[in-house]
Amino acid sequence: MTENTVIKEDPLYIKLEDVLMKKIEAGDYLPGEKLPGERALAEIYGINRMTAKNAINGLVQKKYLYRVQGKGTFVQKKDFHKLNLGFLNESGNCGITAMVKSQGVRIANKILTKGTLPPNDYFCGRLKLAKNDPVYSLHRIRYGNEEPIAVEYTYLPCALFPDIESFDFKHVSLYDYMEAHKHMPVAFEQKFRIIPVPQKEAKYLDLDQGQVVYYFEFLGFDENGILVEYTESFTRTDKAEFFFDTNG
Amino acid sequence: MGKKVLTLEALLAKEIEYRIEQDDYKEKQKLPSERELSAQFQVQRLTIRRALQTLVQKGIIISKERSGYYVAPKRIKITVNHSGSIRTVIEKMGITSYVKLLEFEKMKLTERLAGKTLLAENTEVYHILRLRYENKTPIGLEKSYVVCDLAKGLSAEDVHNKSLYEELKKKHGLTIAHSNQRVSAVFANGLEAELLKVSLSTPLMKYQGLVYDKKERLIEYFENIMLPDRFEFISKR
Repeated sequence: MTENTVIKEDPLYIKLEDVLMKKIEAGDYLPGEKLPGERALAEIYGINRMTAKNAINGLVQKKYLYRVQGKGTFVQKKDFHKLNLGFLNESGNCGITAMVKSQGVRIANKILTKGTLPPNDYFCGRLKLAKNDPVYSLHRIRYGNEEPIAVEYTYLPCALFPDIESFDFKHVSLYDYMEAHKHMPVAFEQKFRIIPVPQKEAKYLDLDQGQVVYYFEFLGFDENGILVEYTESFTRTDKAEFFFDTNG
Repeated sequence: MGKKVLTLEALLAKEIEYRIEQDDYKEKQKLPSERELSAQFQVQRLTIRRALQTLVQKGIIISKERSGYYVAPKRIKITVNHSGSIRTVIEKMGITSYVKLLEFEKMKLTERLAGKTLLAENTEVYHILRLRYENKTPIGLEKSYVVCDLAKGLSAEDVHNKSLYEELKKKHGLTIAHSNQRVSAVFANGLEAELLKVSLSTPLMKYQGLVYDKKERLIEYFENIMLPDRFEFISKR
């Protein structure tokens, strides 16, 4: 099968988008480099200026390029330094903090809400607790180099962490705190999807409707197999990708 | 307890999600109406509506105009701890699957592919392009490069609507020992949009992997472009 027999020809601006994307991926245009202007692109590729403009707009929307008012269009830096978040694995502390730190990114947190929840079947069911056992909830936006990377909703059984209300997780790493209580999660059961960003999370992550996020849901178990954590997270796809190894 | 930690609608959304997980509401089944749910939970209808919207946005339920809310169909689960064939998973779910062969050719690795596979440029590979269907709907475009030396004489017939891994095992004695995989989000290009029947620039799931045999030889490099709402990855340790 050749493309032309079955596939409709792409509009010109899409073709240009493709060409530019490949050049960016191949490193012909480097991260942070200024792209030729619309007029120059139109000349180079022998197309009209509107087509060049549409292609640039497309690539800005896809986060391959970004604009600086009055200066021009530049190749996005972060796409090519995506965080390797990995699928959580047996190698121990896999909190965003640990992974991001090892890749030299400054991390910061914003606490959206925290505290003990009223009785709820879902969270007790998830954490395999008896109905009405108290559950502590911590919702955070995680920032890397001042930009939002992920929103994380974490739920912990209060019984294992009786003094949790007195800690400020804006400054203390949750996993450091859990480790101090000998309940650091070391094994995980997880589910990973790509979903359209829900309205609320779009606002937290500074995304537009229609963009997608990585959606992660996992249960963390400590070294004694005790279920210590249930977390739901929404991560920006332009900031991270997921790697994992399989056996057999 | 002072100030509310979670909003009522967030808690309700979780309660309804719990019922779905517990199979109180089954796959593709219609949920009780907004009115019935608001009576059950003794909350305002607007609160229920917002909770349901949250679940619609997460793809857990589907809203059908003038009909109501339905539990979304189950996704195809890819277990990351062992590299099984997607086909087996799909068939276990009782879904009819079909893989249509679009391209099959012998080629030499380009510079880009050599970089990805760490094989020498010009290494001979079979390039296989297949389109995977679930029932009659295309759900994934599967591009695969198989090292010729390890699978001499692989033919188009071997991979048309058949499991590549089973063929490699049966005919070439190649057993998959491990793989490195990665998942990211991409935007549909012209070919992908056309074949997967989505609009240009629709966000799609890109699933790439390097597959090795017991002797640490690279058998295959694959690059799959998949509909994100049909798949999920599962891992258990």
